Amino acid sequence: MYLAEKQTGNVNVLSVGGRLDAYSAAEAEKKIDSLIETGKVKIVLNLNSLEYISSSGLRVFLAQLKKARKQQGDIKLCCMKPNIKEVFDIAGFTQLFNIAGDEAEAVAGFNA
Amino acid sequence: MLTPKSEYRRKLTTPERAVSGIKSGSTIVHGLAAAEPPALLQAIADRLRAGDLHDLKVHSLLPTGNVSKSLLSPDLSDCVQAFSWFVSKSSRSAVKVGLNYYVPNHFHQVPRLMRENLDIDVTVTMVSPMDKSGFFSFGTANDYTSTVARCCKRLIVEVNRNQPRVFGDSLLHVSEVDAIVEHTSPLIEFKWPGPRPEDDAIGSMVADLVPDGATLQLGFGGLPNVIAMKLVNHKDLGVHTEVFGPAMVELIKKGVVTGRRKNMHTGKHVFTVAEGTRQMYRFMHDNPSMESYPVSYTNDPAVIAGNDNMISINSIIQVDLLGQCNAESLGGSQYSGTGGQLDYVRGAYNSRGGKSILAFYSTAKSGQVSRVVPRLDSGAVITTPRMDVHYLVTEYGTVNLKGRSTRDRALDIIGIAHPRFRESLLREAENMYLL
Repeated sequence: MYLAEKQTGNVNVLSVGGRLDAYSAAEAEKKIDSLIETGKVKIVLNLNSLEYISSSGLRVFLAQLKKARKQQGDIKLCCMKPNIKEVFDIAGFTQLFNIAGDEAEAVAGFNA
Repeated sequence: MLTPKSEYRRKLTTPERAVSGIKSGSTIVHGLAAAEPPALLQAIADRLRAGDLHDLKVHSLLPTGNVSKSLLSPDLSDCVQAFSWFVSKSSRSAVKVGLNYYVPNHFHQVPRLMRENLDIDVTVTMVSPMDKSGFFSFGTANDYTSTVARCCKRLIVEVNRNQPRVFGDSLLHVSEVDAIVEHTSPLIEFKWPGPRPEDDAIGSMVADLVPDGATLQLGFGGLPNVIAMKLVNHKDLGVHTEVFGPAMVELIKKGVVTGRRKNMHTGKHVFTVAEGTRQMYRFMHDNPSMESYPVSYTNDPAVIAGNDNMISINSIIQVDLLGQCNAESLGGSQYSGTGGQLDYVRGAYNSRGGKSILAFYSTAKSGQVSRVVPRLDSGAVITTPRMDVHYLVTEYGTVNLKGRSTRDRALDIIGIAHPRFRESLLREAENMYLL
């Protein structure tokens, strides 16, 4: 798994690529956690390069979503590959997250 | 000394207070199916959503509406580790993506497995109202619920006036309970798909295998209903079953099921869990012919074999040309569970004159896919091994595989496949050097 962070206005965009599984979930959790801890609670996760997500990855996303929303922020997802979208659908997670087709749309969602 | 009434009043509380002592990291087991207690489950879910509770381990078997709307809701996946001892529609998706873990088991062993392998902090279940002597009834769910109620650290019961009071070994005394809440709501009703064209032929062939005076184990669903309708001209049938369903009520009301020729529990209809309609729950209530027992008893193969002419009827997803049956996995994922299938397959065969019947449609996906396959799908689970398979029935016929060679059983099985697939199956049987 790899993570790349950038800022677009007041929104932090984190690109998550590779495999988000039991081995890498803690690293992703730590990264998102550090953003929220420092008050950066408007977060877009760009999943364009995410190849695989396990239940550990799903749980990290959900726990961080709750943290961000508790602080009046949000985590929006974008650019999901069909196999990742399918996992979210099966898990019932598509109803929990705001999911955008592309990054610009996800970022704009914070300013709507 | 406390009277039952005064003890009841002392333990009576609200759902919120009853669950307030549950600690993060606790292991919780809840009553099965219609005995899932909605008010208690909701109160626990409220605590989880408020961030007051986390890391719960929740054990279900066939989770249905009340638990899927509360503890197994997707938004609680980060604070609940869920385990399904039989996968249902409510847990299938979560199991598929690893958010809910299946626990392989034979149903009759579940009480022991839970007692010996889980350190259960809390059991929550629904019971019928207390009688004047201080006894509740486990009602629709005896199964493992009656066991975990007695081996947990804290037992909380939800008294529901709609939960039927049944007899047998189904009673729970108020002194055994730690907290009581009252909540009246309709019990979950179980609907089954409407009949399929193949049902008529399968029902008739299964009915032909059932002698008068037989004792039945009949599952729940569309096919068991049709089979039951085909039994209306039989005499003095009995019931010793895992799941008691509406089809059996009809046979009892018509006088077809009397239980008079049962060797054990003569005249009684024995079950461990009931899944049906409001009318069925009413029929069960205070009916002295209805007896429920723990699943460690009803599904013990030795107990099952205690009735002569025991006939068990179950269904499968796939059979291969060796006779191996998969009743629980689909596309490499856990679709349902082993449940009590092998318990009854073995118990029925060991009964004098007994038969185990695995009935199934020859095809799936509107006739496009054969359920008779040369080899089971990759990752498929064998629920009933070939050594145990007795009768197989499809809409194209009945075969008895006991004592048959690999060659004979391959030919027998191909003979009950859909005709459209028989040629390719024969070719594959040759390639496998079975013929």
